[in-house]
Amino acid sequence: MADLRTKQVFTTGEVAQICNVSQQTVIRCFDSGRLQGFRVPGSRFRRIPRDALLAFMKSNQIPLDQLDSGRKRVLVVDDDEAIVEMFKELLERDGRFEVRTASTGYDAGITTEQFRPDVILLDYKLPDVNGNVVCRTIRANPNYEHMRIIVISGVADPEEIRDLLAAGADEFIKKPFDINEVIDRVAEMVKVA
Amino acid sequence: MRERSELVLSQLDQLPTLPAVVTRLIAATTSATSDASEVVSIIETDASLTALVLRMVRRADLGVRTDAMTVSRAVSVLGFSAVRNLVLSVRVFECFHTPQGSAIDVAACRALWLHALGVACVSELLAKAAGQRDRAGDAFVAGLLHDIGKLAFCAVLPKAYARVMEDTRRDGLCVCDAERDAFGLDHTVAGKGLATRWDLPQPMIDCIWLHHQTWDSLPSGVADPFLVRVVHVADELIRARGLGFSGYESADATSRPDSDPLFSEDMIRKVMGDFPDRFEPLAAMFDLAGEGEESLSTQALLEANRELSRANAQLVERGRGLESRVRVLETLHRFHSSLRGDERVSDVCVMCVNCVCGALESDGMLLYLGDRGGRAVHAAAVRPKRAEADRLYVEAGELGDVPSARAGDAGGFRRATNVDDRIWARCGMAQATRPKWRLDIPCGANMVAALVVATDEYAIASLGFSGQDLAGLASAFAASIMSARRRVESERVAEEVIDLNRRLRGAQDELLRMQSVSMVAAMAAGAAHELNNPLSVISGRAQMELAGIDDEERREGLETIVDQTKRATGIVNDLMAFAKPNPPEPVSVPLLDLLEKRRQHCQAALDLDGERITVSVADPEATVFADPIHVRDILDAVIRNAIEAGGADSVHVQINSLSRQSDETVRIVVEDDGPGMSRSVLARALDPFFSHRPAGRGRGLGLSRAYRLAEINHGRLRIDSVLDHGTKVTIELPARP
Repeated sequence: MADLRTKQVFTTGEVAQICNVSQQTVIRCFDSGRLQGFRVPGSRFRRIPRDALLAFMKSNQIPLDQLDSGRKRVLVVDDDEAIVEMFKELLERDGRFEVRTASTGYDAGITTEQFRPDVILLDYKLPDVNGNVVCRTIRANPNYEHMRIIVISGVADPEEIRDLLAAGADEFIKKPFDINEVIDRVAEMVKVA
Repeated sequence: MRERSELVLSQLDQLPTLPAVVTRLIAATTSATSDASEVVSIIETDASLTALVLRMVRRADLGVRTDAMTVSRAVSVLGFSAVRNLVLSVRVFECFHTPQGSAIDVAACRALWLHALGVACVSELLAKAAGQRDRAGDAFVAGLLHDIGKLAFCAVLPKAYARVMEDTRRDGLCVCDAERDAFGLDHTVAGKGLATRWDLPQPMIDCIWLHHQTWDSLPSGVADPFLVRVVHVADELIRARGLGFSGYESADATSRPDSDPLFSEDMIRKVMGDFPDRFEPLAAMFDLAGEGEESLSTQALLEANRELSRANAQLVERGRGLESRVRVLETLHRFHSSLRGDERVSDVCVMCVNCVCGALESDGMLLYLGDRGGRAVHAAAVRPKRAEADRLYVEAGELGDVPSARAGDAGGFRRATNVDDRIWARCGMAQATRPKWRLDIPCGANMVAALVVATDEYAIASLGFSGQDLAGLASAFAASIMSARRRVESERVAEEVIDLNRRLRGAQDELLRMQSVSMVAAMAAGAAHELNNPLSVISGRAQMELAGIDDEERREGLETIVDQTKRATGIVNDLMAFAKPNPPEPVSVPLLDLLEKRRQHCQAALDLDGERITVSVADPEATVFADPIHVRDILDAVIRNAIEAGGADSVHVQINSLSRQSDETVRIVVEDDGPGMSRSVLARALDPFFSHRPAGRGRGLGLSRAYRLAEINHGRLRIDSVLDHGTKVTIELPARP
């Protein structure tokens, strides 16, 4: 059952178990369209994707704690290993967050798709692509609409900051920073979400 | 007497006979049947005679080639009778020539011989004139030998005869009488005797014996009276001419010869006219100074004289022309030698006027049509009585007509009809009563100047300069004026070049400084950026550690780490701000207000006691158009530097905002009376990270940053400082957008 946090596709049986209802109920909801899903091609088996399940559970006020730990997911993107390590430790020690890391823009893209973070801590200067390109790419995807992006950078140029905010960042933190401040800001972001 | 004469006669017998060639020649020429070939052959037998004949040809200068000459050719060239006459004369002469004798003897001989030669020539001519051409040869010989008696006396008794000649000359006696006195016989008898001994033809003997007899007293037995008469007349004529020694050196010599009906007056005149031409060549052969030569030389002299006077006239003419040229050259020389080479144009003008007016001794002025396209006129006025000249500068607009150039002006003085009297008066010269003359001074096609003098026509003419000379003078003046002008211009250009150079140097220095500043800035930014990450990590980790520690000491240590990283961050930020300051957002900033605020801020921030900073503003309404934050930073940096660099207790700062430099810029001056900067420190004052302070060294970015901020706000910042005399920082900012 530890898989449940990462599982992406569920069977009707698993859904019944998670939601604490009978399998028949699940099948009925599936057939009536109240639960989105798809059939395995070439068979009659029903499958339910994760976000469909989450949406269903939310709309029916079914508690999510089996599926979801309740911790917010944070993606830290920075090419400097020391920074990344520090952030990871900092956030995990806090207890409210689940942290993944990426060191390039490309990695960030892939992890975003897999991990579906709630907050992205993004360094402006990345080896392969600029921070604001990453911002724009994420904002271009409607599925990531709920994600919050915080850009962290040593650059203090107001012009550049303006550009970043225009590109889709929600916040800007200057290096070096006060760690408590950072955590507070992150927490604030996800509360709104 | 008889004994004496006999003695003489016997002595005469001792005379040498005539050379055979002469006898033969005489025989050949007097015989009716002789011809040229016989004469030629006679001559050819005697070598010296041949040489003589050839020499004669050469002397005759007939343009004949003489190298292939033979006697026969000579005879044909010269003429038979000429050759015969010559030969005879020479040979007979030689008979009686006594080189050993005394000078008197030689002179006497020569005189006698001259006479004989003269008579011979005239006889020949007379014979021809009387129509007896074939007797001409005989006449010549007869005339040649007629006074042979005298020659005989000369040869035999030279001293005695010399005395005879002397007596004759002195006392005006007839020579025959003298001879008879001296010797007992006269020359006619002696001659007759000699001729008989020589076996000369009878007519010859008759001539010799009877040549003193007039035509109507000749004895009837004479064989050839014509010949005798010819010789007689010839003798008379020659005597009249005074040629040589004829024996009658008395008043009689000037009387007319006895008129012989044979020979008319005209004939005689013609003969005497032709005589010189016949006589001179012969006389020349014997180097006898004859009177014929005199006339020749006179003629030559006259001719030469004519030529000379012609040449002289020409030379005089040339001389006059050259004189005038010399005067012009002297004037030019004076002019040029007084030039030193560094005169102004006005100096040269004065010299030109001096030159001409000095020569004319009149008032004059030179109008120099100046540089601005002829609109301005320099005038130099000269009054020769005064030592100096006046110089003025006259605007052309004030005057009337300024003389202008007309095309095709030749040199020379012209009546100046269009020179306004106002110019004259302006130059301070009295009303000119005398007419004005003008000399144009052109340079190429342009008119450079005009020289105007007030004088009489006479004075100008008496200068003696031709039009060409004056043109030359004018062009010399023009050249001097133009060269002075060009020198002045080139000086100006040189000055401009130097100034330009200086400014270029300044601009280069500025550029260099700016480049270095921006290079440093870029480097600083790069470094700063790199530093951010490690600083973040240090700070972050320290903070994280702090969260779990209670130990006071350890907490302190970690807090120190955090503080220091903050400090490091501050430095990093300063560097980045220095490297790339925020772009200015200019607005109109009231200066007084701003300055007051900064004063208070600095006073507080630097913890100063007393009124260390004073502000004065010339125009309370003054505003600058710039980014207010930048202006604030500039002022702060400059004031801080003044106080901190100078030491806390020795500086007063005064901020002056002077009245506007122009309407475009506002100048803020920060002056302190601190220790000032040495030249090396001043040179580096605006360099980033440079600090001269011995203690409490800051980042060294203050002034550098202020400089940059001023630049990006379209202003300037400049530092002036002298060691021990304080420092002055001047900030210029635009007053308006």
